[in-house]
Amino acid sequence: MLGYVKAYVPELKVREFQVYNGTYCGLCKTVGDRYGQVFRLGLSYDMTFLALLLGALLEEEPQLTAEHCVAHHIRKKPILRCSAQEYAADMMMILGWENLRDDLEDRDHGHRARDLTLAPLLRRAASKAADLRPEASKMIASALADLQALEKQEDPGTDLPAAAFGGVTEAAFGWEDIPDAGQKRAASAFGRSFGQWLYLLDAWDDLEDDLRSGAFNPFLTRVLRASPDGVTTLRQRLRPQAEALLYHHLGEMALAFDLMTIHRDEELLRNIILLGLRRKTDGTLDGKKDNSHAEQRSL
Amino acid sequence: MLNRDPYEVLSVPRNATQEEIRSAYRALVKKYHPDKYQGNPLADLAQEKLQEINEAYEILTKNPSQADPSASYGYGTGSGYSGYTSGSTASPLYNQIRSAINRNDLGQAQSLLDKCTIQDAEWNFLTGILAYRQGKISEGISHVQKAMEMDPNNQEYRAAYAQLNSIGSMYRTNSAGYGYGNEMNPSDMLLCSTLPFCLCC
Repeated sequence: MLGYVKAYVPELKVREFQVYNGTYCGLCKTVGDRYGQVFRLGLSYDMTFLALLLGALLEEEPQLTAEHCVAHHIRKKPILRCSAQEYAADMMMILGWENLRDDLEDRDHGHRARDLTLAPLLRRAASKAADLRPEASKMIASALADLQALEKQEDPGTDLPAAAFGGVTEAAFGWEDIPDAGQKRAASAFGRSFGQWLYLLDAWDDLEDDLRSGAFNPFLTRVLRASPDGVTTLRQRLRPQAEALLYHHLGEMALAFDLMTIHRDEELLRNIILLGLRRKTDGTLDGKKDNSHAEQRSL
Repeated sequence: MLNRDPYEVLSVPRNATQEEIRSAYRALVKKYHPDKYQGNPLADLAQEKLQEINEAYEILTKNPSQADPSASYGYGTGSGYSGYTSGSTASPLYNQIRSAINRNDLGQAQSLLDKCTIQDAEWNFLTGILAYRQGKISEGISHVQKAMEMDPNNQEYRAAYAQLNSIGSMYRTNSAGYGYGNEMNPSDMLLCSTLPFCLCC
């Protein structure tokens, strides 16, 4: 469930692009400082977005430095740091561990060797993060328990599991340091819609794999699984419903974003929300990657 | 009273003409119109924002009578959820359910709704809004639709139904207005695909 959130770079100003990269690098450094170098490999633009959005809600100015790093050892890169990145790094450990634990429990055995090596390290990092952010961590654990219970039911539908996952991201976006109660509510509501969108998009992306392996997928009801139709037909049949839901959640995000008092990087954030997320949505709905697999097989 | 700079609230320069102020104001009223936040848990924040915009506009035009009539929608009720306290059909139980929804106390709203014996238009409306808040999008919308069909003259049901159904297309419009779909050009291909590791920029 990674890599869904990216800016649409060609429409960015160079200055915005530099802030984007500087924040990515800042988060990467922050994760390294707080938890150890190995976790920097798990960094994604998804968490960069969390750091950017929450950072923009504070009046605090990010600090700019020029530093080397493993990936950029020749020239120094501009690095932006702010307290939202520390929070995002903590969330990254908590969510990363939950995600890995979920994978170890019920996914196929493909990545097991690497995952098993990483597991004890990530578990320790996550428990440190949970001590630092007790409230968010408790809310995340309880939302995930709800989600797990729903995923064990037969045909719980798309909305309830998505809402349960929305509870996870609602907790992650509802940062306790957001100065104003209304702003914190707007961020939480944004996070909730974001999670609903992310969950459904990821489920859509996994449709083919889950159909084959029999793993839970909110779109695949028992009746659909039993039908003789191939994944292409199923996709066609489910697409209008999936598209309407995904766009609905995108719209809710935009409504919440409009109510936020954004102190910096507003255009960059708008680019991610209005262009980046939509691009990802359309691309995933079209299932280009999976369609090409299907074509190869039929050849 | 307004405690921010009215020019800042309306995002207009200090030397803006009355015409510019008016058009900025109209755009903001459209952006935060209560209809757009029907059923949304942040409806009260949109209302506050609109109030601030109205006050700024009144200060800058010094002519309150010119204020856009649509902006005064839902004003003076003092409730977080515009229009939620009125209505001739409102029974005390329904009012309790409305205020539970306004407080975001969804468990309480659910248990109060379970006590209702008659499933009239208002019951369907509140059931729909509650389901929507719980994340049951299609179920929520279909209950609101049912409320609208049972009481076709109710403006609130109509507005809520229209809004909940159009959130997705509103996003499409905003996104297209921001440049989505204009992006098929050769510069796409030139973009470095290994951004975080690239040394060129």
